Amino acid sequence: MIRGKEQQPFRISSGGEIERTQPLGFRFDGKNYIGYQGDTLASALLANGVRLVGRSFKYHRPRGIYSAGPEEPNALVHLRSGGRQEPNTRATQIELFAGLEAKSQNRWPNLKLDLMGVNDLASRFLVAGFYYKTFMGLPGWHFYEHFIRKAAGMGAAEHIPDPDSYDKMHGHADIVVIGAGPAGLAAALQAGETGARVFLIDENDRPGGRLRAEQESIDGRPAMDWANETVAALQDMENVTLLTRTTAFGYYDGDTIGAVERVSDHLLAPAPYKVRQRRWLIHAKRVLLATGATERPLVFDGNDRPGVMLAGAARAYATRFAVQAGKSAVIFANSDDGYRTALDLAYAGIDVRGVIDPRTGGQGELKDRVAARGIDIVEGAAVVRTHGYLGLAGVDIADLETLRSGRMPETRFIPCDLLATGGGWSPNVHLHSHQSGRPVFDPAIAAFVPGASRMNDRSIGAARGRFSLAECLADGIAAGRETAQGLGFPVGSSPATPATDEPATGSFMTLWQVPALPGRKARSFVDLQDDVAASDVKLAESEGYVSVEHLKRYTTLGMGTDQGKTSNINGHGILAEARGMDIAAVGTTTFRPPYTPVAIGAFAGRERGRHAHPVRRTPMHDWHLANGAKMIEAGLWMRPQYYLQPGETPSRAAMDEAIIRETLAVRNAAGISDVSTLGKIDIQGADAAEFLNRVYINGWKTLAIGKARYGVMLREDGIALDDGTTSRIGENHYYMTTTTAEAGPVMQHLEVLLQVHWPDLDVKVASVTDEWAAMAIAGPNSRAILSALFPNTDFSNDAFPFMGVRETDLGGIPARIFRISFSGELAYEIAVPADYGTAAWERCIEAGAGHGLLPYGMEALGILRIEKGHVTVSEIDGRHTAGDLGFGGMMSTKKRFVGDAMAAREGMADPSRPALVGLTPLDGKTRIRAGSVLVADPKTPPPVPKLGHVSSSAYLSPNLGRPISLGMLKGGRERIGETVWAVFPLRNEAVECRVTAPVVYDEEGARLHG
Amino acid sequence: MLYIDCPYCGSRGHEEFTYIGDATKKRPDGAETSDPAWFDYVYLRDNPRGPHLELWHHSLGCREVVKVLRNTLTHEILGAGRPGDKIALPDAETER
Amino acid sequence: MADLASPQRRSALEGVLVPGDFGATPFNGPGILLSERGPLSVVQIEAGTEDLTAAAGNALGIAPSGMPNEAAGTGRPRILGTGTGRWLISEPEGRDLAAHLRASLPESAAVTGLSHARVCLRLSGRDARTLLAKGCGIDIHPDAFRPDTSRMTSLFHCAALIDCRSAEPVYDIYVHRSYAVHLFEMLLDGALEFGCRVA
Repeated sequence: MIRGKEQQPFRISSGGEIERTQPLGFRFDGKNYIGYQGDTLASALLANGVRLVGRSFKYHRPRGIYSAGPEEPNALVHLRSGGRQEPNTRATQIELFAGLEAKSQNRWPNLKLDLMGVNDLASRFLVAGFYYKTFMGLPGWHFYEHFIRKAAGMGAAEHIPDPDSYDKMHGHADIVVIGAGPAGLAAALQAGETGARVFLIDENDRPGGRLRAEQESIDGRPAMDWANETVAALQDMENVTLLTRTTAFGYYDGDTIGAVERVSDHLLAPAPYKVRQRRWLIHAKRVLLATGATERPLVFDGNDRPGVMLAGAARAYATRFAVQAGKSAVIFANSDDGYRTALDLAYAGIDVRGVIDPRTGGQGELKDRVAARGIDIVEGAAVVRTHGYLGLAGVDIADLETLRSGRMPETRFIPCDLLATGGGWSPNVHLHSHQSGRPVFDPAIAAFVPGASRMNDRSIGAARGRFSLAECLADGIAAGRETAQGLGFPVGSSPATPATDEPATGSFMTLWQVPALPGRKARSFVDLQDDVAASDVKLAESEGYVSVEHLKRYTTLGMGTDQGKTSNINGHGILAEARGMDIAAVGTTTFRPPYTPVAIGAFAGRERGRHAHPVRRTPMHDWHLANGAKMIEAGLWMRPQYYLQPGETPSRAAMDEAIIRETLAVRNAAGISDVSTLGKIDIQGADAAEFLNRVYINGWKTLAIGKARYGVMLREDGIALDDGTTSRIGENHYYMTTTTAEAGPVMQHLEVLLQVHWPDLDVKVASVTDEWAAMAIAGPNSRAILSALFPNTDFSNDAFPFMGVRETDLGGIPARIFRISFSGELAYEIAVPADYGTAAWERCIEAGAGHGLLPYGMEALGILRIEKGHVTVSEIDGRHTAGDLGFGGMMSTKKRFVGDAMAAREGMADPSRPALVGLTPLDGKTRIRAGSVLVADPKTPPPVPKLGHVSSSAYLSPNLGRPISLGMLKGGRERIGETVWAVFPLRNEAVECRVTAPVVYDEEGARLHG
Repeated sequence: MLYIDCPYCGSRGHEEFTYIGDATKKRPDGAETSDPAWFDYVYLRDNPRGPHLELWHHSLGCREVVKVLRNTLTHEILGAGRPGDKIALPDAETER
Repeated sequence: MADLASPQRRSALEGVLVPGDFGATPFNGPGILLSERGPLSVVQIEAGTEDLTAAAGNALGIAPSGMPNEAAGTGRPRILGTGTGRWLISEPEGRDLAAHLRASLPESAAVTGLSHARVCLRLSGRDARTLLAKGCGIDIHPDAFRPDTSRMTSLFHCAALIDCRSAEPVYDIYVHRSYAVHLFEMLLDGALEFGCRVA
């Protein structure tokens, strides 16, 4: 049974945007409450009389709801539970939904009794820089750090996977308007009418901005009528995209706006197939920043007590949410906003007990209206102290002039449970600043306004300090028209600015802080979220932290989830006062994205889990899976690691057995492996041979048609880039293969050479990696298998020698056969068009059935090539020369090639450079970990001279019966036969090993010829 | 996002491109073997504050190399063309 | 043993592209239609020292456009510009397109068969543009990406050639074979909120 009124003692019975017919049940800190559709969590809590919502960051002081928007420093709650839970969400921006669950943060064991509140009693120790001064540099910082972090944390993140999905979207616009308040709506309407492609973005659930929270009129009707009509007109325009619940969080290069649309955050859970949030990147030609302004608090003793609230927020709760933020209010403001607030709160039925105005004259019309209602007005005064602990009970006011003179003023106590305070408004220049826009200080409003910008942005309305409704509308209309016109869109005659009935307002008085009562240790907070008091700012200044950037790092002013939205300017104002300077000279810190925190999920989008990056599959992928393969990532590719046979269950032993089985099959019978991942490049043109001659270190002019050759490429700096074979298919037609890892870089290298450096060469290159499925059949029985597969081809050594290439067909499937070997065995590679890959592979398996043919994976491939001392990307790792790798003799001296001059430098040919060697454990059984460092003696006190490293390792060569490794060892070729140590300090391993030649199996290479 | 005007594809975001390097360096011709010439080409780079000619490869587009004039201070793309093109500073830049 | 006489092409999407309706199908039917076009013959031609437009026009019965990103032909064949002096030609498998072009074009032209290197997905439906906008940074507004033009771009981090066949819209998306499963899965996953009919 829902009994709205009784359960919402602070709810006003009429008015506001809330839907009283749609009550919503929710839980906060384990207690059930009722709010209404249209509430935020903050407004619903206030309606229920919940004032204490959190504890402060450092001192664990009780804190209440302070604002009604994204600037909220206090009311950060832990929202939802399970995988959807989210810490540090602003209660002021959480739309209420049925079943909402939230918890307060930063308290233990509970909000009312927070034992960490002892920090507050110790606050005179916990001043700016306390942790640095006290603990840093002492032995045992690591010990203290744990407790300090525990005591001073914000919300805690969760490890449970998020069940929701997130998405990304790209947009393109002529004009992006950010903020759908009066200026933004007016601008979007004008721009939209010209036919320009317009995006209008607003972070709230519906457009209107401050109009939703104020008692304003346009053309004699409630201002929201105008807003709603404007929105309806915009929604009718196909060229206008209206995004609500969307925060533009960053302004990036190229006038790109980053925004996050909270598609389902206002729901208990997203609807089926709907995303939780969607991250937008919108490319704009022009950006209109109608981002409004943020109200600043006044800084005085006890200004953080629950019940102290920004005046504009108190008005928003009364007008938009029909909630009394208190029953009895005092208002303290340095502009006519105080009077506006008094009228709105009184209208909402709140007992307004006084307007405290530090000014003595210069007020506008509103003051008279307040006076006429009989509300007490105290001029030249300030709130000097607040009373109450978990909630405000009253305030002391005193004469400001007396206070400033340093004398003890007379104070007067006014009981109240709400203190609405307004210190002026700061334009939201965040997005303007993201791309080095330089805000400038405007003394008339004591705030920074947008300055010069190198982007195509223009700030309008309150975002540039034009605070009246009439100015916002006029600014929006002008900007919308002019911007569209500037882009070449036709505009009609200028419309009249809608009429407003705003009273004339008085002057604004700069008041950075209220001086403390003489003799009192005032707790005047500047940054409520980070517990930075005015005294901390002064302390920092006196210790020499006089730059705003140093002040920020030293005191944490402006850090945290709110990034100083309410505190920065006050802090800088106080610093300026302390330094006796103008705030314009002190400057302000730089705003960086994001404007408000953005969930990591929104950046990841749907690219998570197995879609975290593109996965490439070979044509035989499904066959591998169906035949017991365990797959492993190789770059973006998935490749078989090893194959389990029917009946084998996955285990370490089964894996070892499979690897040994596959390795032995290749050496003793035959194996087949999927080598489709190798890069393949089709090279055509009259100068193709000349081109190959220039990119490889060895000569290519003599390669005959139907032959392949092994080649090594260098980078321009003389370091080895890649190796592989290239075959001559026709007169001017070559087929290059690269390693899997370097396929992309090699292709790009060739394209850059041809397009930039050698445009005169007639050579065309095309990647055909995806065109061909490739399989290597290796082992003594491979000739027999190939003969069965290709009955019309003579595979004898004479007819089809090593490095021979044939174009033929495999029972109707076009095929290229290459007699090349990576395993050192008699071997052939067969390439067929990819869609025939599985069919060809299956034919090979069938043909090999009687010859002991087994598929082999990456592990066996690795063992086989390490036995033969063949290098891969582990050795061609961007640090080694062709000489280091044993290819020094291949470097032609009869021609020029990429990297030749650089490779000829003294240091590149130094005999003490690392050289490829084989490494065998002395005991014949201890495994050598890849990545181990090679040293002469592990017992040498550090620093131990490094002799090299282990680049590749096979834990067991089944053919040799012991582990084998390859390494890069200084002067390695001279050290063959010596011993070195392979050490792996992270695991405290040290293995003594013997240096061998890289090739440890079939050293003379006889097996290659079968 | 930087937007680069690819001579073939048109304006595209930088995520489609790979940065290749400094376009002001001329690769020594085939006859040049001296260390200093190659050393200069491979290693020595100015670090200008302002307009800079660079090569970008449109690797997720037409795979053509684009010569780009980019302001290293502001990230503005001031011009783009083919590797052999001369790319002039916009008038406004020259005045600065 | 498989029939040696007539080997069948096996699509990269076999077992992955399963016909049916997926996701939240609204009352007015799925917002996305997704299918594979194939088998196709796909050939890249690239000019060497001589211009190819006239010769290719003679060989194919329709001249390739010299304008960047412009397509020619209705599909038998379809000729897409993929770079300066470079085109991708596709048509339903039939004649040996590569051999035909090799025989017809000047010696200096490079002819590269890519029939098996590309998978062609056809994407259409009222939400097709929104789906593309999820994974692609180019402007897909109908005024910006017109029928009979194509774009080489990044689609869900895969290099893709997107051919706008009609304003309905209908797109043919050519993707490298090894990326096809990833791209298909990303498209299908992104389409679930609109309802997706896979055919």
